[in-house]
Amino acid sequence: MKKVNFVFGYIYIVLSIFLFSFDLLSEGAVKKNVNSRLDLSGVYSFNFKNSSPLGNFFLSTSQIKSENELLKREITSLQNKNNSNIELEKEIKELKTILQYQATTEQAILTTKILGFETLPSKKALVDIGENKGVTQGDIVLDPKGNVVGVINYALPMYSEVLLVNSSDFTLNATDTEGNRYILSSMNDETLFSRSIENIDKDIVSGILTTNRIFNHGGEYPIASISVPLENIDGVTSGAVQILTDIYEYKYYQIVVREVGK
Amino acid sequence: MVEVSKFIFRVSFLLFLLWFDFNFMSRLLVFDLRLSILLLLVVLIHNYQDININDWYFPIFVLGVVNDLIIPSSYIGLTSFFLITSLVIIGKINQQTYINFIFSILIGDLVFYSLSGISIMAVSGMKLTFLLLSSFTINISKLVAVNFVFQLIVLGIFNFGREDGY
Repeated sequence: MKKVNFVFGYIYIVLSIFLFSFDLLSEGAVKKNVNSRLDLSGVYSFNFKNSSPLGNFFLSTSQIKSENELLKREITSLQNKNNSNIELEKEIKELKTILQYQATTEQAILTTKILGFETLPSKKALVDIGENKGVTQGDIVLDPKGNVVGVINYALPMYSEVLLVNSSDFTLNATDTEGNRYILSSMNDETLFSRSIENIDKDIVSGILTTNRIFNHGGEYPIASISVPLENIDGVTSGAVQILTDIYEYKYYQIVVREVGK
Repeated sequence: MVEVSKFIFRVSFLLFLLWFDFNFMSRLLVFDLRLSILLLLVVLIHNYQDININDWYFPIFVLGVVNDLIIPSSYIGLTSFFLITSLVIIGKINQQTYINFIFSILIGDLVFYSLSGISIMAVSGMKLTFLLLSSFTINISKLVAVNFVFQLIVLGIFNFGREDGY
């Protein structure tokens, strides 16, 4: 067993405590003074950036973790940007479709942005133009492709409420390609119930039901297609028709304004 | 003259060790915990029968002072105090023949990190409450465990086939 003189150890412990107390009480004055004269941290820091293989080997776990966190954040931010780009591309495509559609029609049609949808008590959409642009109650609302998505329920000064075609309280007059008149009412999310207003005396096998100027709709715009024949029973031709539009797929709608000139 | 040159050699060696600690050991973390090469030095000094510990008090004192001068949050004398206290305690326990050297290292580690933890909390101006005890204990336990394993591995390597080691 080796012999150790612990007295020296105690002396240095006391000396350390004395130094610490002095530095603490002088609020680090000694340290500041020494460091201002001699930059020891400069002597003891070694830059690994220029020696990448060695630097990478000694890259600490915490550094890797922080780098990982940073990359995760970057990925999230890029994903958000990508999503926003996809949305913008979709909007541009819709607006182009609207422009093309409006170029082919003589009717005054306004483009409007959808502010939001409502499901209860009835299915509605809120759009960002109203009486300020000449929108009135009963105006037909179209999707970018020109299919009917609903009618204006209320027109307020700065925005309007659209009663959607799939809403349970939706009703609208329509005509088929032969000029027969029908009244459409809601059945479910994808179909409407079509009932002829006058006696037709035959089944209607196929065709498209559209709005009509005779009902003051401002033009002929497709609402639904006859996929299952409409049967004539006791002089009334009726049946389910398929809604043409994808209501919730769009960011923009079009409003057929009937009273712009007034 | 021989004594002076030996002292200069020891101090130079320790300063190199400090440089190595700052530049390499500080980057080589285990479970986000730092391995202390200075504490390993204290253990290794005790490991060899022919090393006179009295010769190492002053170099370690100088090493601690330099270390504290470099670390911005530390006060001069703190590291010297911890290292020399551990050195003395491990030596004292080693004198008790009924306690194994390995166990004395563990106690030395515990003392070193307990003192470090207490000093950090006291110097940082934190209010010392009972609630801090669990966090204090957990962190110290983790540091002691990791460093103890590290020291055992190094001791195992250094003592392999030697007769003057424990």
